[in-house]
Amino acid sequence: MTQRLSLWRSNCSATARSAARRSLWLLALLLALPTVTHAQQLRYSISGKVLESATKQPVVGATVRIENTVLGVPTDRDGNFALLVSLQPGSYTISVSYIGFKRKVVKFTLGDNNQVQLGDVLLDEDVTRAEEVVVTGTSVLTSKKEIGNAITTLNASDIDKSAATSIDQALQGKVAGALINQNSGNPGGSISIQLRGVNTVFGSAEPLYIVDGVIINNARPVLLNLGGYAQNRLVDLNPNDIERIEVVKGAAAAAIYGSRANNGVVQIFTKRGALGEPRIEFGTRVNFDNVRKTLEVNTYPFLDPVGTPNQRPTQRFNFQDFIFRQAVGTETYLSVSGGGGSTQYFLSASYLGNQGIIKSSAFQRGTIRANLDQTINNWARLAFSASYSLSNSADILNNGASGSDGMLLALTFNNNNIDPRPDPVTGIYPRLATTANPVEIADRFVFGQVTNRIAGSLRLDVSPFEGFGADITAGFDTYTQTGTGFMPPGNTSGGAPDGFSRRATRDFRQFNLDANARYQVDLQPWLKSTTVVGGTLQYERIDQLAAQTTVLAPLVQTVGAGINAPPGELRDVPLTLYGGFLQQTFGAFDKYFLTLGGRVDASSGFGVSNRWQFYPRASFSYSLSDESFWKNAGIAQLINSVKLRAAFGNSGGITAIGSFDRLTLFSAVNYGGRPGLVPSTRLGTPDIQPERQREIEFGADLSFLNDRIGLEITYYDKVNTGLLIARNLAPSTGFSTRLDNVATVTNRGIELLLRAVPVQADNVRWETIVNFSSNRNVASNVVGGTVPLGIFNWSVAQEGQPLGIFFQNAFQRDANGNIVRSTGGPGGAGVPLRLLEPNGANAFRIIGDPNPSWTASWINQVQVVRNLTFRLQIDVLRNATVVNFTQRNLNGLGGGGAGAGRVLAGELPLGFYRNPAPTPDNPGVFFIAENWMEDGSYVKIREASISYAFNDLFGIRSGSISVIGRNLFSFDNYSGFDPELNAFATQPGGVRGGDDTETPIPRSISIALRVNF
Amino acid sequence: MTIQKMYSTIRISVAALCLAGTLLALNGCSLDPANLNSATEDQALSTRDGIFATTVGLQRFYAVDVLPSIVTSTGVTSRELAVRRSFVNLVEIELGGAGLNNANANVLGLFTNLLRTIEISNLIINSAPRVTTIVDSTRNGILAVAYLHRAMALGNLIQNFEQAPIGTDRAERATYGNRTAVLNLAIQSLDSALLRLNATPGTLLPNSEFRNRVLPSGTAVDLRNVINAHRARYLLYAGRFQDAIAAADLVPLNSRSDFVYDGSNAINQLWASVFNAANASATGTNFGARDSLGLPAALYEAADSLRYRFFLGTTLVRPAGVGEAGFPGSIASPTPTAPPQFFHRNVLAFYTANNVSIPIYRPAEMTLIRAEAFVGLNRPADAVAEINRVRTKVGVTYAINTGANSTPYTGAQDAASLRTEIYKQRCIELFMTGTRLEDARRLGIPGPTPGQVVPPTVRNRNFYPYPERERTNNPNTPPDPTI
Repeated sequence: MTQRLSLWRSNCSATARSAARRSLWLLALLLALPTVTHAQQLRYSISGKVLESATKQPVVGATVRIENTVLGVPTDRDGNFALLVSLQPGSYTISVSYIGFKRKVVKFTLGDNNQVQLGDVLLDEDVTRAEEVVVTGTSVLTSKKEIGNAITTLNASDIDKSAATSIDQALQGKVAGALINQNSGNPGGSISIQLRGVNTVFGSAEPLYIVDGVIINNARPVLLNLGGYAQNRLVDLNPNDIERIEVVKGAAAAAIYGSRANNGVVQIFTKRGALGEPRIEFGTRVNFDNVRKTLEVNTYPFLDPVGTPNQRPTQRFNFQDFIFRQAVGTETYLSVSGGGGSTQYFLSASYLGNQGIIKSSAFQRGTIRANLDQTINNWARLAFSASYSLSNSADILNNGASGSDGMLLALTFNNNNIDPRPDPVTGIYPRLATTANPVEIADRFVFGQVTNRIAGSLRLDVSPFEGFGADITAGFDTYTQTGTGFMPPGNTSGGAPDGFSRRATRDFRQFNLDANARYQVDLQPWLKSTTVVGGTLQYERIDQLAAQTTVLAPLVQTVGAGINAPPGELRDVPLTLYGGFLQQTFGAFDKYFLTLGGRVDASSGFGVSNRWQFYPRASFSYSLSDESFWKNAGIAQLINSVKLRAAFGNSGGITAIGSFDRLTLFSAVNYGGRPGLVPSTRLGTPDIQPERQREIEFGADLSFLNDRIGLEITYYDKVNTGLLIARNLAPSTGFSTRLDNVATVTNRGIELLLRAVPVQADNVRWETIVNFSSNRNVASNVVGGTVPLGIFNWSVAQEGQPLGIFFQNAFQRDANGNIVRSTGGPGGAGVPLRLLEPNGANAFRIIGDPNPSWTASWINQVQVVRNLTFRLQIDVLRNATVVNFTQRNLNGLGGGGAGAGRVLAGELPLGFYRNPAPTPDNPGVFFIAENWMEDGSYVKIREASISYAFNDLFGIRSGSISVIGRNLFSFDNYSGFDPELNAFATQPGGVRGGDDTETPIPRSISIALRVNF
Repeated sequence: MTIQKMYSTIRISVAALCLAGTLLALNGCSLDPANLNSATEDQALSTRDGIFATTVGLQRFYAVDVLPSIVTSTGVTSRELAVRRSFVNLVEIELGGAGLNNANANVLGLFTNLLRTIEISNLIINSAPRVTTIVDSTRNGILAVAYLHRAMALGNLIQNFEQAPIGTDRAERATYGNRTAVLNLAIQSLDSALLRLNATPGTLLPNSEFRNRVLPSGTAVDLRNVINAHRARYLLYAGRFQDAIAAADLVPLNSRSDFVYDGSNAINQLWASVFNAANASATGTNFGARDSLGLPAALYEAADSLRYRFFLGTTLVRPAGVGEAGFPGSIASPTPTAPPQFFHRNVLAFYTANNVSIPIYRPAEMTLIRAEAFVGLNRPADAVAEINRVRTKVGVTYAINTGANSTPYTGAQDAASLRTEIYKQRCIELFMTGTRLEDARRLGIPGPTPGQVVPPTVRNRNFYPYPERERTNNPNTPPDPTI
């Protein structure tokens, strides 16, 4: 330990130490605040039962707290709670809260009787969720009513019927304002989340994730070139452990997260134990996955086009038969929770094993978790969380974004006239025209990644005197991800026919320390004040080592078996961030709530002159329906509650800033046996600063018809300035590029959330939720006018246009906008022509926008006779362009597609895809980008399930059995596998809609059993 | 407050403080962390080791990155080389004329690499005097290397552009100089280099520390010869004929200096990009050495076979679209639609393996510099004597022996004829050194006419257009040449 201490400390500079010392003093001051003297304490047992008021069913997991103490406990499976406490006699208030229900307050007195029975506490359903208590963005438990910004909350029951592998996948369609995209159907998943649009040009658009107070890394390390596909590391977390999720989507809500908040914040809380006997939950699930849609292939029985003398006959094969399979997976989950005395525990373990629908691909994940809560006394409490996970994927080379061999690439890059199966006698795999044989890839290539991850936190909460509370959280997240790849010598690949071996390891560590203190006081009977002060220290470090060789010795898979091994290393790439914030809230008459706050940040990534950043915020909420004129008016019968809110905030983004971008760097070289240094072609940006966001949002929360209908509507306006662009410099600077804080991206849009209970009868209850979001994104101050972002530079940032638009060569069109077609020649008549500039050069035009005009989800849940629940979630996305490289290559490169077959059969002109005698304006549609732009609008049956709940059966206290479907149907006009696919998720956040032979998203049907003992 | 309560308060406070303190100390919390993956500019230019390494880096950058862009791009423009692949940047440089636009990646690469050379050289020239821990003699050697590379970059700029930046400017306001100004700066730079080498008389220069830490290992480079050879070249370009002859006389013909390659860390990039026997199976080479050096019949003596065979191999590749029948004589399709457009052969000489050294200058250039200077001084007989020294190299020991089996020069002795002859000799002796575009212009070889189709053996531009990135960002960029 000592040794490790000194290792860590070696990086610590004097300034940082003094800052640390200052923080310590602050902490000491906070903790040295006088504790109120108490009279003689007595031991009491306070118990009761929490029930739903409408149904009288027990509420499991509701939080029961004694106000002004740290004493609290969740309810057990019967809704019971029991608090064993030492308190002085007097008057107390207990508050009972549970997500989806209005908070209930019960006053009671502690006297001579040390057995206090509070009886049944009835919770009313809160359709509008106005009373919900949240913490994200405020750092103190706050009722939503008091908050000026929108915040989305989800609990375990919202996601436990989603049959999702990862948390982000489970969130699909459930968060208004979030565009959650499953980029790939690989079993390890790859999900992208954009909250209220993309807020950076070159950085990642992923939000900040916090789990139990720990910042959780969600990078997509590319350790193996799988052709654009990479897992995002949120997949290491087990969704079954989640109790609650809070999502805030921009600066107005997330300003106190400072420089990391531009993309929004997703805060996750895991389940915790409740006092009482051990509660055992066991769940198991079997899923069957298959490919939802396959592509039509060339079936023309000749190699030569119709009309050719002596047409050569051939046999055609559908490579998809050799690529896809019916996949099976299982998931098993066990948790034990309970507590006694002053200790509560929650322990869980899980195993997930999924086959991919592409042969040989698989994903396995094992997790264990321990969450412990220890009440030290009535004003101090410790919460400990720790999780370990082991994720293991069998990967396949599977697309063409950058790899030169792949399973699906073999489908698109080769003609389908060769039987890919190995020779039955020699076992030799036939060589295809361009890429490796897909059957050989499945049988002989070995690619995989293993990730060991440990994350945990320790939190101390103190509440030494009335109105004052403080907490310190120390958290860490650390993982080692290792990718290995092997292709045997003598394989059919074009890239490494003599064998290939690679091993790459990435070590990531992240540590954060947060301290917050808050003081709540009633300044006047009508004026409530909450003051929060907090500080954070965040540090992360990345180390990476990769080695690869080619030309391997047979039968050996390690890197050492080959030649040419210059390993690549990244050592100690650090990021340090200090932050502090102060926030003041006033609540007047329980109707007006005003919050003012600010955060100050400093990071090692920022230029010295811009090292300190300030992010102010303000928010206001007004509960109109609490006014007496409203309550007395007739409209109150129709509209029960009206809350108006407005919020403003600033935040920063650092996803585009590298650790050392502020410096001009010289890299190591060797010449003539001498070590040397050469300056990089990128000039350092000494004054580099975080990308800044200013967000204003307005909204209203309404409830109608006796709280049967709740509506949240929000308009937001985000202006991101100082976005980093790698600007081309005049070569006479001696450098090629420099990162400049120059670009601007705005996101404006509306979000709508409608919750309703249209039917509420004794035996039937129908609950419906509609999410709707529409976002307009515009980039400006794009230096250079057009800056390539990704998808082979087809996707660009362009002045005045949405990020990621497709800017490439277009069709020639006549005055009416109709495509001009060829009239004859070697390629035949009827081939669309390409647009040229007057000087004969290719004309580039905006030919598509991958950003949807709107997205929506409709979630329905119908419960019949309390036992049977039907659930259906439909996701809709409209007007997003997808570039279909899959069809382009299938027909224009390989010739194995149905379109290529139609050319041979004479149904399409000979030169439709590629003109045999190409001219600049008539090269064939393969060379006309606009031809491959397709509408990616879809309506998907994302989730559908039927569950049957049972009680007291064969010794099982309660349980449910479900049949769950995921991605069952997609209604779209897209000619590829799935319009949701994106093979370019590792590229900047604005890059979307690039379908390039990515693994299709499977249709998945699960049978799940969940029981409680 | 009870005693018990007080104790527990203290206990928990102390525990919390210890925890917080430990965690803070655990953190590698600096706002100015060290970068272990690369050096910062500050470190590289303010330390002894950093200056040494940056000077090594400068030589490597020139040998590995700059030289190929000089040789290949200008080689295509001056018709030495053919392009073999259909990438748009390649097709454009082969097309030349108005088809070569400001956005061309090859022109950008050439311009950028040469300016980077000037920038790195200037960094060393400005920083090395401030690093007092370097002994004077070593520093002099370092400065000589930096001045030499700055001069080479300036010279190559003005060989290919009408005007050139006379220095770098990070604020994107570099000023341009015309041919005279740039050549004078190059010559001054070389004079400074010589001055540095001669600054400490009596010691063996460069000293052993300089040789062991800064110059490539072995005896690849005789710095003084390289400097004098370049002085001779640029003095000739500048029209200072007498000085050019004097400088050329200082360069021993039996010595050579090389760019060195080890085949793994530093690869001979011309091997990788120009078609040769070793990479014949690979389709990846962008360029090929044109048959007959891409010269018209008038400038090409088939009988001079020994020297041609020094550079050109026996594998002849025909242009795309040219028919099989009667190959290579009859041409089925006279206008190839895709590269290669020209017959080319596998290259030999210094380009046949990834670790072959490439001469920094060719000693025979000194003889041809003298010949050209004599023409300029109106001494045709002396000029012919020098020309014949090259044509009939029997008995003359040139360190790089391209051979020669030709006969003495018998043509007319007027200045124009002699210059044409000198051009012809330079085309072979300086093959693939990047000077041919400059030579053709300077020696009065007819060039392209704006608006006309460029014949296959005539250079397709006189000067390159300035890269778009330069024009967009630097308002001092001069107007583009017409062709």
